[in-house]
Amino acid sequence: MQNHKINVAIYGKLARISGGRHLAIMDLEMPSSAHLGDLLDQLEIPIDETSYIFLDAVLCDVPGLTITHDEPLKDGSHVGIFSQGYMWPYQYRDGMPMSPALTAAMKKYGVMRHTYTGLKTED
Amino acid sequence: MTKQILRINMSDLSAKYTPVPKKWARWAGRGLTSAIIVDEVDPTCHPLGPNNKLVIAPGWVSGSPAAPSSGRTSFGGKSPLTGGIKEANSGGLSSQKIAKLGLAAIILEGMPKDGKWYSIFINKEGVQFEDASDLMGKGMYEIDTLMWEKYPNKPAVIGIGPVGEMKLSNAGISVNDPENEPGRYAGRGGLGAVMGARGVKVMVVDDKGGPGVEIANKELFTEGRKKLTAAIGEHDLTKKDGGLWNFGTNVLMNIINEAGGLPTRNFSAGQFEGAAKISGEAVVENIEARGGVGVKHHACHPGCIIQCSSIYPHEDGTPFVSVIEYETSWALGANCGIDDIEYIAHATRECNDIGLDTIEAGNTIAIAMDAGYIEFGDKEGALKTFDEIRNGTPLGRVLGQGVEATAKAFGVYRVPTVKGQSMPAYEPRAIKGIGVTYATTAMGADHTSGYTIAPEIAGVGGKVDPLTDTDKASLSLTFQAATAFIDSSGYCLFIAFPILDIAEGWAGMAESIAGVTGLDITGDDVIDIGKEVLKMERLFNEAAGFTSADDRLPEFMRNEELPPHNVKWTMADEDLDQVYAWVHE
Repeated sequence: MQNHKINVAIYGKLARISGGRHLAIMDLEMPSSAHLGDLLDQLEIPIDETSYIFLDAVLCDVPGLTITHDEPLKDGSHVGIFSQGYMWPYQYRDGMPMSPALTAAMKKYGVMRHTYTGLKTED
Repeated sequence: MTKQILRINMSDLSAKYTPVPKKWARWAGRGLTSAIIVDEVDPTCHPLGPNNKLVIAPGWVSGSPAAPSSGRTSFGGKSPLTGGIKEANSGGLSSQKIAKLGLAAIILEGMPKDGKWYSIFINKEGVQFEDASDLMGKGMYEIDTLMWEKYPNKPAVIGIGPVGEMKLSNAGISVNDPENEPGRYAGRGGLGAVMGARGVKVMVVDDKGGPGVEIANKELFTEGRKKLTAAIGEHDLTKKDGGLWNFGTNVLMNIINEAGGLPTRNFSAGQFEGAAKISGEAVVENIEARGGVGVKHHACHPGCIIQCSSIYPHEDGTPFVSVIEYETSWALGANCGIDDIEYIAHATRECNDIGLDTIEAGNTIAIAMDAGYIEFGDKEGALKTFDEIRNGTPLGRVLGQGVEATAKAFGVYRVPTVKGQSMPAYEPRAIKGIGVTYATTAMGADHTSGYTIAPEIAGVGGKVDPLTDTDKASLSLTFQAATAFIDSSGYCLFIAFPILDIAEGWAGMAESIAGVTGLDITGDDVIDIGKEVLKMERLFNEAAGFTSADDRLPEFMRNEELPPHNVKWTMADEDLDQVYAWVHE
């Protein structure tokens, strides 16, 4: 089966994984059956160091809610991965598209928080 | 000591101190500027005429010892850009120095009968007026330097550049920072033109020997400020090594771009391919590589512990500009299709010098680009517009009036404004919640008018679903009210982050205000007090002729899909009208 071409941008301290200081952008190939979680595994990104993760402009994770890893990657997909320490105030994301898993989690833990780090969440 | 109102009348060059009247005694900052404007300014007056006033007010806690990040100064008047009431606030040195002189507010009114320009010096001895002829045409970098050479004690310098002298609607008011740089602006709404219309080029405030700020309940104040300080130091966004600390406000560039909400090329797309090059990450990489005077964590006023500002150096390490905010980098960069951070630094310095609001300036250039006068991405062409404005050419005077005037002059349909003020760096078709605030706030499209605070504290926890359109409207009111309260406090709006997520921080904010003022304010009062401010402002605008038809986003946003999400603005007008329906109930 043909691989998918994926573009990845990593922001903040995790950029070190690809040799960057605060920013790293790369192209890579993934199996056509791969999901977002597979990409994170392949890049060996420590999940406890991520905050916001986007897949094709859809918000998948926020700080403290790292839960959307079963979204399928498409050929030409772009993934944006932010390290911890980033901010995105609620008023500036109110209404943005989110993955189904993140939408459900936010309904459970509170939509309006600025960060979820330290929040006691159930697995 | 009772706080005073300093009334400066430029018609007869007089200055009068009076105790704060009872009707204004509760207010400070934005609450006070709006209360005075409502009481003393005819809503139908011409903003540049003799009946408008400029009101300058520090917040409740400004100037009090060790209140963290509490150096915001509110400037108020009738806006020449919107035709409605305006409050724009700034960091810098002015808030604490005005407060320490025992002043609750400075009211600048009248117009010089001789048509001359003046500088004003204020200290504990009183007010001095001087002929400012030798300062005319000068930019704010030179003005700030000259004022510190002339006056001792490193005073606050509040001034206008050539744009304010020309009384153009995109004129901001500059306040110097601790390094005496003019990067702190009460930028939005053209209040620099209101100051210029009073015939005042610059006001210098020296607080040495002033009475200081009296603390009504030291124990309560200390307890409150400690709680707030701890919350700021603990929260992910505001602590050291947090988002604002690491990259400043420009930490948002890549996030908003990844989300598809970054207005690009005059609001024709939601992603910019060059965003990373003009982001906070790029700025910090350059600061680290260049060294010299570059600073990653910089306080725009004494006592700020968030330190989201920075000092950006030239390649040789010499001073270039402070500060490249997110909205600045977006407006002058992404919205003009320009991905060169050196150009943005240069353009920001131009704005700081001649006295332009960077958001309106960038959006105005984008309009000229949309019209084909300049190509998107043409940074040399963009820089020439600043020369046109500085020199007061006919084209420059149009551009200096902002987006709506420029769009009319160039015949552009895609005009991203509400109530005459152009939108900041968050696309409302993608980020619907901010669109509600843009549409309904009395200030015109403004990203600082609706900061989130805790839903439980605001009384909306469990009552609304933020994921629906209808409830976005009711949430916006709560956010706007909380913001009006914080804008009255003197605290930086960024304390909204820790007080949303940390209950002790919320309580600490209210306790510190109650401790300084002696007012019976608790966290439970925040929304109601904020709504009082909003009501004053709303009724002023209604008296000025505004109706619900002004609470709308521009037509093109209902007609044009925004990539990459390919969404239009779909919020129902009826939902928008609910935001302020309570004012007449």
